[in-house]
Amino acid sequence: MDTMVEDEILVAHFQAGGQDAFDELMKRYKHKIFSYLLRSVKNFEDAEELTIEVFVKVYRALEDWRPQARFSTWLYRIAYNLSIDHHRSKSRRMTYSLDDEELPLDEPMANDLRSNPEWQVEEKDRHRIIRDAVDRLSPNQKAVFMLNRYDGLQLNEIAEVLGIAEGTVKIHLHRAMKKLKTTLEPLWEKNEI
Amino acid sequence: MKTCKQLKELHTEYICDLLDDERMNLMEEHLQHCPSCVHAVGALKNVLCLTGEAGTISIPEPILNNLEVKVYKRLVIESSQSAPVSFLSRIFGVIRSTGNWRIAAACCILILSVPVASIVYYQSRSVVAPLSSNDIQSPHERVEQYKRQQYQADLDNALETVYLRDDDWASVGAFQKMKEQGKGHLWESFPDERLHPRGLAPNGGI
Repeated sequence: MDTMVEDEILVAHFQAGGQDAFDELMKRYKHKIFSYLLRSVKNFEDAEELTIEVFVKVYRALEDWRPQARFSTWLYRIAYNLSIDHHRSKSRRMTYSLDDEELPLDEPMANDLRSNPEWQVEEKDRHRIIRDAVDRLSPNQKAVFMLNRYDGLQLNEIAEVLGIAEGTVKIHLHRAMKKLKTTLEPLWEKNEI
Repeated sequence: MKTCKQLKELHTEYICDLLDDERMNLMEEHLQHCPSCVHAVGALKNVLCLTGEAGTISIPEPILNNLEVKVYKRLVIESSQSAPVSFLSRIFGVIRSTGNWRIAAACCILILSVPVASIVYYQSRSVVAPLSSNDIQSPHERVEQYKRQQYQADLDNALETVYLRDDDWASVGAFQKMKEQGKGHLWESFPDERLHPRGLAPNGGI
C-alpha cells in the first residue's frame, strides 16, 4: 500500500480516537525527523528537543489536519520552521554551538579497515571537509540539497516544505551541486578527500 | 540535436534522476559521444557520492526509544500548565483592553459564573457522562501505559533469563528489583502464563 494512504489512514484513525495511530506515526517518522534536525542544528540535545517539539505540535494540530499535502511533507515543514526559529534564537543568544565533529559517524565494524584508528581520523577529517562544503551553501541551497539528498524528498515536496516554487527548488539544487563541485573537485583531484 | 551548452543545464537533473523519459534519452544519447559532458556528469556523481557518505549519521537507539514517552510527558506538562494560564491571560487581556475596571470585573464575574453554575447544576443532578471507547486517551494515561509496557518488558526479560539459565531463579535479585520498580503500577495484573507452571505467585511468592 502507498505510504501516503497509510499515513492518511493513520491520521483518520487518530482523529476518530485511536491513539495507537499517533504512536505508529511517531515510530515511522522519528528517525527521519531526528536525523534531519540533527543535520540542521548539529547538536544531539537540541535535535532531540526539537524532535519532541515537532511531535507535540503535530499531536495538537492533528485533530484538525486535512490532507491537502502529504503528512510527511507537513511534518518536515514543522521541523524546518522549528529549525529556523532555533537558528534565529541561537544567533540572538550567541551561545556556543558544537562543531560538526559532534555528528557521529557510523560505528566502525570489527576486522574492517574502519577499525583502524588512523583510518578513522582520516575519514573523520574527510567527512568534516565535505560537510563544511555543504555548510557553505546558501541557506536555501543547503535546505534543498539536504532534503533531497539525505531525506529523499521530491522537488514538489521540498517546494511545499520550504514554501517556494518548484522551479526555484530546481534552481537551488542545480546551484548547490555546481558550488559543491567547484569546492570539492580540486580537493579530490589532489587526493585530499 | 542539442548542444553541450544546452544540455549542461540538465546535468544535475540527470544525475538526480529528475528528467522525463524524452530528455533522459536525449542526455544518454549525447553522453555516448561527448567526453566533456561525461566528465562533468562524472564529477557531479562524485559530489553526490562524497556528500552521501559524509552525511551518514547514526543516532543511538536509546534516544529514539525514549522519544515517545518524552513527547507524551511534554504533552502532560504543557496541558496542565497552559489551561489556567491561557484563561487568566485572556481575562487580563480583556481588562487591559477595556480600561474600565468595573465593567471588566462585571464581565469576568459573568463569564466565570456560567461554567460554575453549570458545574453546580450537573453535580447536583449527579450526571456523569460515561466514557466511550472512542475517547482519546490522555497523554498522562499514555505515559502510564508506556511505563506498564516497560515493566512488562522487564518482566519478560527476567523470566526469559530464568528459563534460559534454568537454575531456579538465579536472578531472583533482578526479579525483586523489577518488582520494586513496578510498585504502585499494578504490574502484577499483567497476564503471564509462564508464572503459573513454576508456581510463582507474582505477589512475592517466589
